[in-house]
Amino acid sequence: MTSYLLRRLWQFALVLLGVSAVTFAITNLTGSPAALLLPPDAGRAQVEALTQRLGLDQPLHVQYWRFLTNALRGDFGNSLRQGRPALQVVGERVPATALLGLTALALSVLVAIPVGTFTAVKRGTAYDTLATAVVLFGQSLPSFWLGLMIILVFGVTLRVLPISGMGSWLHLVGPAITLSFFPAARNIRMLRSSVIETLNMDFVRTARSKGLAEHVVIRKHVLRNALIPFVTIVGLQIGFVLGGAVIVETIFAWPGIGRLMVQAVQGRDFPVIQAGVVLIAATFMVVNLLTDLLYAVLNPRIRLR
Amino acid sequence: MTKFLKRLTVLVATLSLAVTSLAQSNTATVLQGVDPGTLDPAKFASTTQQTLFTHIFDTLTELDWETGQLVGKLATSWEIVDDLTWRFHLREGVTFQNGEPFDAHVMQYNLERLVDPAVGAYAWFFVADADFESSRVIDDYTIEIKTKQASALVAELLRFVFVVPQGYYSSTDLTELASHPVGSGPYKLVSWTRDEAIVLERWNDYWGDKPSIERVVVRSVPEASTRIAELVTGGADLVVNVPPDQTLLIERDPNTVVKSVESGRVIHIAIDNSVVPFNDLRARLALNYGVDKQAIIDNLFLGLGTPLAGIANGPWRNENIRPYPFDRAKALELFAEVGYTPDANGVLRNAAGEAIVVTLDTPAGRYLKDVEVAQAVRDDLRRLGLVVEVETLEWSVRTQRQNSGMLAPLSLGGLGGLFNGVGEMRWVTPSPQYSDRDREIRWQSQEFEDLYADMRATLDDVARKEKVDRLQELAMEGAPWIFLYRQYDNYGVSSRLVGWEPRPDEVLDLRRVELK
Repeated sequence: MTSYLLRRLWQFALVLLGVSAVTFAITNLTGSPAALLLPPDAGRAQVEALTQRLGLDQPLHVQYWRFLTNALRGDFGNSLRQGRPALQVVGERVPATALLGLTALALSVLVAIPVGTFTAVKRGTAYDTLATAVVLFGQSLPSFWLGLMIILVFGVTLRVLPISGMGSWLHLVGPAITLSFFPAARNIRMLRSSVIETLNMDFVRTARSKGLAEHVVIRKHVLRNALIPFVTIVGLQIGFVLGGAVIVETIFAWPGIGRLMVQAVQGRDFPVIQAGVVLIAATFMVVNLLTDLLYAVLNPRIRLR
Repeated sequence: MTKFLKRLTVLVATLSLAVTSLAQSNTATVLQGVDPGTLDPAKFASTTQQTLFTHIFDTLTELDWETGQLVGKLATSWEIVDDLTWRFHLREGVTFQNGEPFDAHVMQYNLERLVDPAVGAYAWFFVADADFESSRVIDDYTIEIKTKQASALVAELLRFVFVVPQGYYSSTDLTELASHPVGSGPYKLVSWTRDEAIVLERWNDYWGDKPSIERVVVRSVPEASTRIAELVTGGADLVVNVPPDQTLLIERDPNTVVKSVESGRVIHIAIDNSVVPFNDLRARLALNYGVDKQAIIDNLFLGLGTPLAGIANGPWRNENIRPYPFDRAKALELFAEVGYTPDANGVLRNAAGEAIVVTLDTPAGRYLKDVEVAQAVRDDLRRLGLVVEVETLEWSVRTQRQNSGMLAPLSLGGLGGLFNGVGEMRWVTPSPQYSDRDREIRWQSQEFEDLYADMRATLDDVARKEKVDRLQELAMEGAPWIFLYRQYDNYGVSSRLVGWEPRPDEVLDLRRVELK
């Protein structure tokens, strides 16, 4: 177990190094921030002076080395747009995105467990067909459209939800529902197939032949086992949620990481892009590791080596 | 279950009412598209920032948008001593929000801060355009500014130098200054949650006229539809950048209106004047005759736009210049003179059988409907017989290409923000002496160049206006651009906000506005 953890941590470091190198190269190749910080009609001398002051005139490998050694000390440099430490700029957005993302993820699981189980048990019936159609519809809804519809119906027409921003818990409802739609649809389908698979197992037949009530069979025998692979899937959804947050945060003016990153990329705010990508990659890897550990806890047959 | 739902609805409705009633006090809520990033006036680069600076800080001079005249603010008067020297008399008894007094020494510190490498100010507008050399304190309330060469813009550009207290700004870390501005303006910063809300509160010890509105909340809401939804439900009093096709939503609501203003942003297609056949004036004129500007304005902007003629802004615009009319026959005639005639398929070809194959690039989402406009222009040029493709560029890529002189031979752009005659003429000036960036147009006109240099050093405004007028004629005649239109800015305004009018420079000014 210890050697497994050490190996995973070593992989962490390698992946982070790779991620930082790739983002560094790509952001640098696609444009310099100096001209973007100045108005479009600023002169070349002004652009050059700013390039020099930002240290962007140095060779790329020199810039990368400087970035790397500073980053190891937790210093990603100052945001070009905000003039404050990039890690702080990114860090203060984490709570907003975490709140939104985890709520959406929880919602998607809460919906998926009953609906996924129900459609699996009733598979082949009209209920199943209807539910599958609805789920497919949910999965294909673009979130920008869904978000605007929620604003229009619940914000403008019914006036029961605030339209944008962050404040009361009511502000969370619209963006969380929008963000949960895609993972919910996905989770329902995953759980459905997992339950169907489990339903065909021998131990289920045994449980039934013992004379157990069907709901007990489903709850105690089928669902418990079906949930094990489901945990991994939910863990991986964190990536989708972060990706979806970009759009949802923009529509609902939610002050999270997704919106910050879009702005940073548009303005080539290198330090913020770097800090953000490294932070997101690290989050993703930690969640992955936790999922794997949880998997081992839930299913004692699995031994991590 | 129904009982529960009813209860829930009541609960939710009560809560949202509570939220709305909070906004009903003497607080104006303004929605912009983006967060200002930093509120250190040395890092001034956007109109989003300028809106906030205007309320928190003072400047020596200010433009009166009703009369178009420059008026004094922290300066009570000024005079030109000689070609290279301007003298400003400063207002006495002004204090900053932290209690520090304002005087000529503080003003000198402010000017030096713009060129201090440790601060790294984006002071292009003052140092470069006003040719700022140095400043000298004459007495506690008089300061002289020296320029490198005769420069007409010293007083005008001082309206962009937002004055800060020396004690606080010289002793505080730059990262701290980015989020905690202190000025001498009518509003103080109370709080700032990034990308969420900036709260300003009226400063009751302000030296000048005190505003009527007690609190101003400036939120950043990137999506236009969301901004409009906030406006019509009473969550905002003023929202920016309303797309023309969504104005109806606001006008349908009895409590909100759309206010539009012709902005100082001129949308044009820069032509690379060094490329065949556009090195020939007649070909450039043909492009101007061949594009139906009015159709673009009518179809894409519902009529909100003015065909572009004189390119200077505000009082500097030459109103006598007429835009090129849409006249395809004339355009074809001009192309025939250059040696291009339509073949059987209507494609223009010269004697060697070569067609005019050209790329038109456009930024995506930088200007209102920029891509759609580029496509409309492309279609017009295709009808004329050119072989045109549109290339869409992300903004940072476009700036990169512009800096290295790599834009396509036809390139859609929108320049704006300047209202002084000099800056606008620089957009087309061929001379690297004044604009040392590679111009995408590479236009050759000695006459324009000489007059531009002369105009820039003309300190008398009346004489300068005549020269700016003539320069605009030269630009129009030389056709270094396809002159398209002046963009309109559309704002959604709640009827609570009394007396607010949009400014052509995109700055939102609430200092003289009342809330009903």
